[in-house]
Amino acid sequence: MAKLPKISERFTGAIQATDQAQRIAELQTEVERLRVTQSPELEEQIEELRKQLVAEEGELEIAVDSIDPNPYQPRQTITSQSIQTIARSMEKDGQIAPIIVITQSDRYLLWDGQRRWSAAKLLGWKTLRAVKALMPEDLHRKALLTFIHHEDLNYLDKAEAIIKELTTSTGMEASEIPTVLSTVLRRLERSGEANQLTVLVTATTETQVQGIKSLGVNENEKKILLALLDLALNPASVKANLMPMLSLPKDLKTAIREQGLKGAHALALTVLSAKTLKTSERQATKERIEATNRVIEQDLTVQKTRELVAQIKAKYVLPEISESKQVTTVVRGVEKLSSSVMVSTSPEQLTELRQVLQQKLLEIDEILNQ
Amino acid sequence: MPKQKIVIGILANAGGVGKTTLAVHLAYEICKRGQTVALIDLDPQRALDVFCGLPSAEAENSVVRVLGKDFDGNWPLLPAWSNPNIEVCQGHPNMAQVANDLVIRRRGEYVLVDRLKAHPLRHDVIILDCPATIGIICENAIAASTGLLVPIQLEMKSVSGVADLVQWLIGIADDLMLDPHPPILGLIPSLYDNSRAIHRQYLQQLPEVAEQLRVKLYPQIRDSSEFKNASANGLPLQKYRPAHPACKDFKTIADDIVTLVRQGKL
Repeated sequence: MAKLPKISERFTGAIQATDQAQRIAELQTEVERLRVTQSPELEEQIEELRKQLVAEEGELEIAVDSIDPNPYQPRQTITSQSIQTIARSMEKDGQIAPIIVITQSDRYLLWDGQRRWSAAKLLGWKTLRAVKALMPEDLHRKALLTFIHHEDLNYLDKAEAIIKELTTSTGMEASEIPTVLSTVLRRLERSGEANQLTVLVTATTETQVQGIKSLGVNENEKKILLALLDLALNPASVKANLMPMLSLPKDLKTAIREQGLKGAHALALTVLSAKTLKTSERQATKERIEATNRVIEQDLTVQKTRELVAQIKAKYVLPEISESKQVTTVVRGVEKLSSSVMVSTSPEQLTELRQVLQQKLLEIDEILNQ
Repeated sequence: MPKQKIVIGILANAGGVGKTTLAVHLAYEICKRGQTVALIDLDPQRALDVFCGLPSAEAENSVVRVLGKDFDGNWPLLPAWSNPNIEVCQGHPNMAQVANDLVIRRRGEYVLVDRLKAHPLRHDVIILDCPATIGIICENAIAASTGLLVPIQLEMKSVSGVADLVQWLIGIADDLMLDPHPPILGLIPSLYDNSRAIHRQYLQQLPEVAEQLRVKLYPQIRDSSEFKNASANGLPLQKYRPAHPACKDFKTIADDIVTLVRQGKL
């Protein structure tokens, strides 16, 4: 009996989907674990602090316009939608938790409650209930840790907050950090040691230091890796998911901040650049902004976004020209058509052949003359 | 120890591959092991009636009423083979129309699971015989199931159907936000004919595929004309020809399901 096609080929898609589902399940477990081990603790700490402050000094009403936003607030992106949601709830039920502020001469620095503060301004409230805290020594770091692991912080804000922290803790320039990080990771990937970093994410500081030492990295690389691990971040994932955010064009950054564009979509849209489209910077930006708006309006998936990008790209870049097998076959076929065969062919068929060939010659001339 | 109610959806995404045969014989085997079983026929072709020797039911005495908007909780059930421990909720051709209506109904994919929650059946095991094509009826079955069984005939039509089904299942369980996703309890090679080269070859290839899909592979159920003769008489093979070797083919699956019932978890 003839050879049968193998059934495993039919299952490629199903197997991929199974693997993907498995991977997602693992990641979800990991997220759950991280949430339990990190974020809630910090949220709890804030709650604890709030209670403590209320108990010690009591709440006070402070004027909304005497509050300054925290310049170290890593959550740069607060969509108007999320503020409106809070505003609605505050209008209906009043302010539930007091905000936390730090006294700075006669004004207040906002430490916790960015969205409540913005909502109060939106509602035209004159005052907010607040508790006063002392200036923490590492205000930025605490705010960062709270927010870095906060799920609704977008990738761009995360990336910028992390870079900011890395410049402080390593003393390096913001611009050199991504380069150093990708160099060291590429080297570790080549030597097969990259996965050791993943293990170190959850290790104690001491183990992290030991672990990094054993990888034989230089001083700057060591500083960056340790600083990331200290923030419970996996350097490989920072490099893959966050660093590319920093070099996004301005319009995409704005779309992330103000319109809630997702990181993965933004990365897909960066393909629409003057370089890839072989067009002017202005034209590329126009296409990118149009595409971005469509992605947001129609809530396209990442896959659909990529398809849209490919369509736009195809308008600018001609398909690559290459040898065609089909043409080679036709040429051989025509060459093989000997006169002895044609002599014995019916005139109708020969006429038809002539017509087809003439038509094709016209088409070929047209393409070649372009 | 409390028993766990088990709802088994039998899905295939291809016609004539032995869904109803599996449903009926499995029901009989599980009942033989001391558990009560309800069979629900979600297939508009209502083949379950034939296999259970039941006269066709009017729509208002079938599953159509159960999925209807004003179901009162009074399940239409008839014992199969005069056995009070195996009851059938019969199907009806109007299920095709019901499917259309469900598409626009609120919680249309969850009607069956909502019914089973609001008006629980007394049975230990509920077996859902599904239509051959994927669609909202199957989505209802998936949302209601604690586990799924997938018969697969070792021919390309059925194999392709199962491949698509598995992929579709993953997406649909996500879309329906089922927590947990009902697992595929097993692939069951059905209508297996050892004299056919394609069956032998594909049976050999199946373990590797099953492993990659992380799904258990059950021993095959052989093809036999006696299955057809038994169903023509409205009987399961175990009653029609108790000594027939194919009767044993359902043993492992039935044992596994009874274990699940007794463990009180799935």
